[in-house]
Amino acid sequence: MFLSWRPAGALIACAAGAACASAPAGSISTEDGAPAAGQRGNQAASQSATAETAPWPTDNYYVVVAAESQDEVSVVRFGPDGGQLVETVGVGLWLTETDGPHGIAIDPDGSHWYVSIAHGTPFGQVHRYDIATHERVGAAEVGLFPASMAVTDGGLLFVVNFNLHGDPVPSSVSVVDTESMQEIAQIPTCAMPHGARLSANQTRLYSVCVRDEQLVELDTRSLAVTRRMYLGPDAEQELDASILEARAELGTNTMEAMATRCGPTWVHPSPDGRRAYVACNKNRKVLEIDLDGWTIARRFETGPGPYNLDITPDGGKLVITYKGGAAIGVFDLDAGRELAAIPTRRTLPHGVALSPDSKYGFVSVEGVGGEPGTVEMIDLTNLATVGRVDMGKQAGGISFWKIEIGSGDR
Amino acid sequence: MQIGNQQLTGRMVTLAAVVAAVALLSAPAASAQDLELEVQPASLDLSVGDKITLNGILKDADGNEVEGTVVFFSTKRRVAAVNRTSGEVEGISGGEGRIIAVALGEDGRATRVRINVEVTVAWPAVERIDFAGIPDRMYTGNTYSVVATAMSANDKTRPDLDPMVRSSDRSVLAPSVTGRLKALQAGTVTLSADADGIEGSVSVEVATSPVRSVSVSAAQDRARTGDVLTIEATPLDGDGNAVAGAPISFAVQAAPTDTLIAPPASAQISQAGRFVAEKPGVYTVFASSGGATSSVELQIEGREAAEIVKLLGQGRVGESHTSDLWVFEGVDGRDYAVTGTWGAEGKAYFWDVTDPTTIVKVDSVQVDARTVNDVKVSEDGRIAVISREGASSRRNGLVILDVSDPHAVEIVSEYDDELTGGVHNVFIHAGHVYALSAGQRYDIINIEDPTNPHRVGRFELETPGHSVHDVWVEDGVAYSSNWSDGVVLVDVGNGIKGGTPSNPVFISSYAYPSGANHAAFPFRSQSTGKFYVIAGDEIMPQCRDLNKPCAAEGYMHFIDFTDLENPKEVARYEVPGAGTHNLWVEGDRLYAAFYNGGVRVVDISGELMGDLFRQGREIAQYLAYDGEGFLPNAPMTWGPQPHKGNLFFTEFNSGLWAVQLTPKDLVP
Repeated sequence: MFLSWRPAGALIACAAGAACASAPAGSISTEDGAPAAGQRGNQAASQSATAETAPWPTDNYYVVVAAESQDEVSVVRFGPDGGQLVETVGVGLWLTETDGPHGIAIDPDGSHWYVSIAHGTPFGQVHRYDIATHERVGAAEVGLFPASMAVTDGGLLFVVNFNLHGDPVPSSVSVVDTESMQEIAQIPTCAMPHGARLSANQTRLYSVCVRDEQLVELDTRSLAVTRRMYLGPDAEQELDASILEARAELGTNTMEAMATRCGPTWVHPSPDGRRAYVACNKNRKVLEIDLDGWTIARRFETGPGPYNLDITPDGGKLVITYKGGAAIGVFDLDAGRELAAIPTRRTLPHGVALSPDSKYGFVSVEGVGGEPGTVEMIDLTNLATVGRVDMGKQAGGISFWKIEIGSGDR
Repeated sequence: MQIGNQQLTGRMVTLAAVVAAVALLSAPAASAQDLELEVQPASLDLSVGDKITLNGILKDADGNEVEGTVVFFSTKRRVAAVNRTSGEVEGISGGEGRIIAVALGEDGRATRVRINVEVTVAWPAVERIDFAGIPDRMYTGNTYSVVATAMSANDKTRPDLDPMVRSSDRSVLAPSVTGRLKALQAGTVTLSADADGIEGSVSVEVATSPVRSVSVSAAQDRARTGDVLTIEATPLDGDGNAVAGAPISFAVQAAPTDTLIAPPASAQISQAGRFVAEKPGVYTVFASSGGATSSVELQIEGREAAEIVKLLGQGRVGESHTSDLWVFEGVDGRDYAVTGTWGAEGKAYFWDVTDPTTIVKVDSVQVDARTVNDVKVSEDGRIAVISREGASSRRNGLVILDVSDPHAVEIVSEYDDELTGGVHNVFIHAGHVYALSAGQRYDIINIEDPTNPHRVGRFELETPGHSVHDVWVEDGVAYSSNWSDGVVLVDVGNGIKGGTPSNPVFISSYAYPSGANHAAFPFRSQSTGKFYVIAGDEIMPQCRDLNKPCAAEGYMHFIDFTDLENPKEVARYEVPGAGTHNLWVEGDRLYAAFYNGGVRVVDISGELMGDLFRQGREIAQYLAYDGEGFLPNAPMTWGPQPHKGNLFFTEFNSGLWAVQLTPKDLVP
């Protein structure tokens, strides 16, 4: 199945009782999904915002977000009073070096949050913070430019070593025991691994490799690669699990022959464990992977530069950040069609985290240069932006923390 | 159900050495069950190469074994490796390790049901004891430091063992409480030491000291604090002849000037006879050998190095943090400076500093970055290179500018190939840019045609966990600062090792224990001809909030590289309550940025030894307060550069500053 993404300017969000939004002007994505030169700046800011028209929730929703160019992690709340920056924690290694907090993860038991510190000497680190006090309580050195993370119930943290240093060499996924904050394994995967998400039963970890066009599946018990898939457009195929570089098996010509690349930047398995969705940042597609057959089930055409994505816990909606298009795509997974492309006020939307009740999406927006980072709140029912909070520069990694009802948490 | 069978493979383990107790861990609920995990053995004592398999047993709340799977992880894989599914543990090297056993739930996911198994891996057996510090002959009346070292196979040291040296006859050679040996009378003794059941010994002869007197002299008996004086001492026999092999021990007695109330420790002398005082006063240096002692008196005056600092001007940057600077003479003969910005919007500012009392911003450029950490200008003042971090495209790299007219700076080209992780520091030398790649290495990029930059070489260390923070190039030698690997000298065109930009060749290096080497500056002492590299730390554990002033730590390390193959750290400049950042040397003066401690100017003339700060070598300091700074009234000095008799420096919170130093008038 091949689904189309409507061109720039199409009407995109017209849920009953809520305001509609116009899709952003089409833009050209560059390496890693950024808008091409000349398209940056206030493109999104000049558009009329949809925000704040839908009612705010009666409960408080909390997310934790990293500001990569500010060395900060912020706690953002969205509730009866709209969006609010609750707390900001300085993170990193040296005050006067930009250490680059990139990924955020929260213990399943809600006791700690973790932030990956991209720049080290040269290896990055994962820092553990007590969620009640926001005090750092542990650190582990991992690989080069650690980025996305996921934590199991059993306290194993998986972090991809993105290695954005530019060398076309295979990198790895580090495994950290969170109790001792010691790295217990580095699992070689492929070049520029990004995204780290667990299957619902936590026995598998999925990540993709931007440079190698690969989807990689790890067994979280044996800490070994179990399956690989080459994601080159129209040449998708299973690779031997031992292949670190697709070119080693497919040859350089296969890669170069591709008119376009997938450039995968994210993968997220579905709640029922049957599918996984891969963001192809280079060619404006999301691939639906049949995990049983390890084949492509559907291809969705998206907005420019799909970057991160998440699936509502009820399995109904897929929310995608269009990093190259300053918008957030919302797909109906049953119908396989885009319901909306909601513009962001600033450019370079990055991460997305969805509330457990499937009602709201929280999107980090990097911004450009001196612009602040932003967290935008999306009403997934009315498909509209309902709140925005500015925070430190280059808002990136985002993780949902909790819903607070009245005086208690849930 | 038992998972795995206890078995011994490889070299057999003595089970008696294994603590056989079974550890229990009450674990939180996994799935619907309350589970406990036992692992047998509960702890392990292994030797290198030993293998033993752990048994993981899951029990329910009633103590009944239940179906389940246990996986194992090692927290110190260099000490003990473990097969994650079979539980087989292998001793890799001596030390303490830990195996974590985790129970998987019914659905296969890891649970919080876990237990730790502590592992001790014995070091390889000691094969011999080596002794060091034993001269050909010991003489009575002297004290000797003899060190015993336990050695295992392949000449490897056992770092866990510290064998104590014993004497067979304490009336001849007696160990003191510190372990040093005092020669009391003539005779032959056996020195011995043992470790791990292996004993080593060596026979030593102690002769009656023929020394009857010591000749001692100083080249000069009057000096200033900080001046290093060499004390010559010669042990003499009864006929006045020098005694070869007789050691000299130096000591110093201080009588600081009576203007000092409750004086601190005020001088030091090395056992090579090099003396330096921190405070003025009268010092008596004693030289002893075999019971004979002589002394020499030294009169030390205050250094009186201080000069007057006069503020000339400021180019305020109040809307962002400021990073590095470069001051240069432009093509038009006027003087200019370029400064970077930090954590902002990717700007670099150009200033006319011809009249430092009126610093004028003449142009700026903005690139896709949050931080322009470093700025450098070519020797001819035509080309500048600025670094990029935090680019929205995540391409980072560097930008080459035409600064022939600093009033109309133009971007010539960008270069980011394999520099996408971020460029933190750059340097321009002889048509090439030396650019750091995400702290991993530095790339060497030819910019002879600035419109067509292309990489011609790169240098990266091979040490485990290596990292580089800065690079400075002078006379064809690149001096990089490499955190725990210290200062590394590389021939990139000097010729000493045949290096070129496309073929950089390692020359020498020096590392120090703090592992905090952040910047380096080479200089040849104008007064002594010695060649030094000053290595600066960056340590700021107390600094977490950019909105609050904070105190950094660390100091400047003076490394004597006169003998390139044998560098020695000889002195330090350490400012209490402040820490180092960037530095510059011109003539025999050090200009150093000390973050919250401001900019410092230090007299580094003559021989260098000890703590230059405490010796009164500081010429000036200036704390730049600006009520309209990005963070008001919070000095945070980033980098200094002297230029045409004035001192320019950047402040993290307030931009570019210029001061002038003038000697103090003599008090009539």
